[in-house]
Amino acid sequence: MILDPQRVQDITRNKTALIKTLAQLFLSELPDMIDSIELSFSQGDKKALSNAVHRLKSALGNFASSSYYQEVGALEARALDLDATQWQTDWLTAKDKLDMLIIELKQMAGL
Amino acid sequence: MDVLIVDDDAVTRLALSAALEEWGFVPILAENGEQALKKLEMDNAPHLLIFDWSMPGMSGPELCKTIRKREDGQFFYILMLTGKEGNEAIIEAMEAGADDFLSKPFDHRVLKVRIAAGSRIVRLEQTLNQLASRDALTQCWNRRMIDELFTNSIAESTRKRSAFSLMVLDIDHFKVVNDTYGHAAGDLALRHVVSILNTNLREYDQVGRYGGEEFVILLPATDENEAWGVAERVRSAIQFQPTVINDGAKIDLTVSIGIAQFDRSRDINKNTFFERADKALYTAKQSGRNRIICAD
Repeated sequence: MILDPQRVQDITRNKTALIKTLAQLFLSELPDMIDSIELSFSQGDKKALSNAVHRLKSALGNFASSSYYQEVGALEARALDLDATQWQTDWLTAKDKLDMLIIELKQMAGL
Repeated sequence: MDVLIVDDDAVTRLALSAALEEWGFVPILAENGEQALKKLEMDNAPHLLIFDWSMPGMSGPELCKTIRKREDGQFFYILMLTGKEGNEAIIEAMEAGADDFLSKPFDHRVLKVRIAAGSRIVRLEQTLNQLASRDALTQCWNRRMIDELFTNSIAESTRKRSAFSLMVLDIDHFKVVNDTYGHAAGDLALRHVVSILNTNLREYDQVGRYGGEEFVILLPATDENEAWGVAERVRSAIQFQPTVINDGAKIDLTVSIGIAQFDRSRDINKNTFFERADKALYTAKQSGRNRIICAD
């Protein structure tokens, strides 16, 4: 599981309305976060890429399992010494997991 | 207690703000360092601050350093949140001026107790400030604080080229009050005078107890004529509202007041200005008391 349901419950004190609001806010911000990552990657702008991944990581800190959070943290760190091919492979893997997290989060929030 | 949350991530801001509300705090939100600095310029700015480390523009440590450079003596308790880990990050955050540090993703129970500890320190600091700046008996400013406000008011008047007047007020024959009714009644009379001052002055005027029965009143944006009006309101209120002591007896009081308007061409410093108002008070005393005299 990519989502950390316990963490979401802790943060929201298990309040259904708050879980829903947080999830909706995250899902509305997510396309822009992903676009920023992919745009800065395509432009080869390492600093912008690192910042864009950091933004995603910060938001994930509220929902994601510790291992997935660390995985995205590693992507942020490696953005600065970019091995483009390897980084893109890892990003695509992380993105697949992000899709799973979206499904899990929607289920939990009743969206 | 208000808490300023500075984080560029909207989801984290919402999660933190909901948690803080749950714990009885009032969250104030900023998306970046520049917004945070603006919020800290407001009256009643929050003194408990939570910063994210990495933000576009000004980073958390840069924001800390900027706040610690303030010269107004205000205390801010800063808790830094970061995805960084390890001793180096802690040292960097604390050297930049953070008081506490929490690695993301953090356990909200840990954040709760850290915030509680921070709020205790902010309250303690506010209490110390209160004790260090207020007169214990009357709760108006003490001499140290009114002196500081006096200096600031002169600087502001010079900067804005606005009028500024000073009143020095002394209770007439106060020794007789103490000798006749006792010191407890004398204390009541002092509190009564300050209460009348607070009622009759404007919101932006400042009152300080300068000595035993002597008070200094700062009147910003006020020329001599307007100051006279304020002084007359105070003088007559004190004359016609006696102090009522415990046994129902009434103590009639009068006050003498010296007024001076700040004059940049004559008052070479704070002391020169004060002396003109003080001399006017002396003249008021010499010419029969219960009156107001304006400085030459």
